[in-house]
Amino acid sequence: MLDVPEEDVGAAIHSIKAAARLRGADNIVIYDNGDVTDARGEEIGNIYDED
Amino acid sequence: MMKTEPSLSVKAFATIRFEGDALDPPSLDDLLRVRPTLSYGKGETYRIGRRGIEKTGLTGYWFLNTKTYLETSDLDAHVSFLTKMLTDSTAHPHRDHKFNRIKAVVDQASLEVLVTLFWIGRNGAAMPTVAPRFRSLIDTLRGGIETDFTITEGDPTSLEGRAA
Repeated sequence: MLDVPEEDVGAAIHSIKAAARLRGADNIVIYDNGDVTDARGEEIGNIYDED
Repeated sequence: MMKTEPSLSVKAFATIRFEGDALDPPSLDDLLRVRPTLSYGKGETYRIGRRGIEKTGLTGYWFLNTKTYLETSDLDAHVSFLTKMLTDSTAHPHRDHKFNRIKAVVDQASLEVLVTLFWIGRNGAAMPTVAPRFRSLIDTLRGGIETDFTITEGDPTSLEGRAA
């Protein structure tokens, strides 16, 4: 479980996906440590890296 | 853009991306006169995140997130930042030299343009709308606009003691 407010998680996901050339409808996976991967399993960022 | 009660607007920012195999990041830097959040050419290596994960560009990418420059939760301010980045004449962008140079680069290099708008507000806030003038500006670049707008319900714990 991420210890981050809902609005911060939403903003972080949006930022990470955009930086990774993904669109809103693209699937991602979020791990407990905040790592985010794209649908192919490639790491594209971390929730805790986003302020 | 529709105004919403500032105290009800929690977080907002906008992003813009240009992408394409023929994209030359330094040329766009010079044209847009702003430092991107991330940019790379096709085949170039770049790093993302604080751990510096190394990647190779599958295509050219020039990406800017306005949250790098603005801390306000007013989405209008973020859209205004992008508008001023694209044109020196917000009243008549289609007659503006800077905007027409950007359009020429987008056309010649067959670049794809996408703007994304993020906004999250509290219950009672008015959902933002995209101003027709901004939409027209992005349309002229054959670009798209994606919106990610959310209104959150209040914290359930704040309802404690209010039950009838």
